Amino acid sequence: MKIMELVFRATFENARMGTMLTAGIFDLYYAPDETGNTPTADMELAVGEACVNAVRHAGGGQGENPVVVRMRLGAAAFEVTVMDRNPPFDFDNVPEPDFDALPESGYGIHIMKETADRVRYLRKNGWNLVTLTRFMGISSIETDSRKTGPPGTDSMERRPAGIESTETMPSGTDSMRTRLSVQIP
Amino acid sequence: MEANRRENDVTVVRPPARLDAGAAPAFKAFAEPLVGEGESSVVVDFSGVDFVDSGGLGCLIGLVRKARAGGGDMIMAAPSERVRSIFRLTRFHRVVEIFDDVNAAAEALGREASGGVAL
Repeated sequence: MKIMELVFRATFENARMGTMLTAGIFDLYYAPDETGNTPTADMELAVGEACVNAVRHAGGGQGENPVVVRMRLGAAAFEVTVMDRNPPFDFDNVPEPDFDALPESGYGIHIMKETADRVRYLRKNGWNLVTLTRFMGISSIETDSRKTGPPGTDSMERRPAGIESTETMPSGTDSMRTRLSVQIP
Repeated sequence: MEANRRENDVTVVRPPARLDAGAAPAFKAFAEPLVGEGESSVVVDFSGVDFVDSGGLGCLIGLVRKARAGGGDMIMAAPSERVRSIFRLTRFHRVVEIFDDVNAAAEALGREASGGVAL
């Protein structure tokens, strides 16, 4: 298990950098399949939407608020949690976009839910935590039943939901884990 | 970003390689005058675009609306499979024409003249 963390100020430029760095780390860590795509390819979109949401609600990209992107990279699954200190919101009840009306905004959470295998929101200690999970071996275009988690014995399924598992991890003392933190100026 | 005028007054616009929430305002400012020129006919050439997020998509929707409000239209050409997938995810593909290459798009738009369905 590797844990990597990016920290940046809430600007759209930094959100782009954070998203691209995350995608680059995915590409380094996960091998492409026979079609040349990594299992993480469309997760870049989900991570990007979460980062942009965090920036947008921090004051339209001008704020000083920090955004943290924490990656947990494992063989069975990988998980990305985007954290911000913006006001809480009712993530699970944000309505789907009215596609027939073709609105110019409001697609972000819909895209996250469609491209990640699981999306969870927690409010904890003044932070919004949006956690996006990709279970290895599950195609992003399989049926919606995957949203509740995969069948079988995946270790990610047995642990508590969301970021809690990451927050309770020891830092730097567990030889099975690698921890890297990068701050984008 | 660049734009070229072709035969039949069709304008071809090329967005930045990464049309995301950070790049969308600049692209919108660049393209808005082109789609606001009366019965404008604009093709967006995605052949150099490898990433579009909801911010970029919202920008495209705004531009399509503006073009159609003026009696013109804006259509999409040469998107990668990755870009097509976000068009599908957001149902954008239902309301705009998408062509495999710029020439086909420009020819179709030239023939339609002031075609397009108001949103």
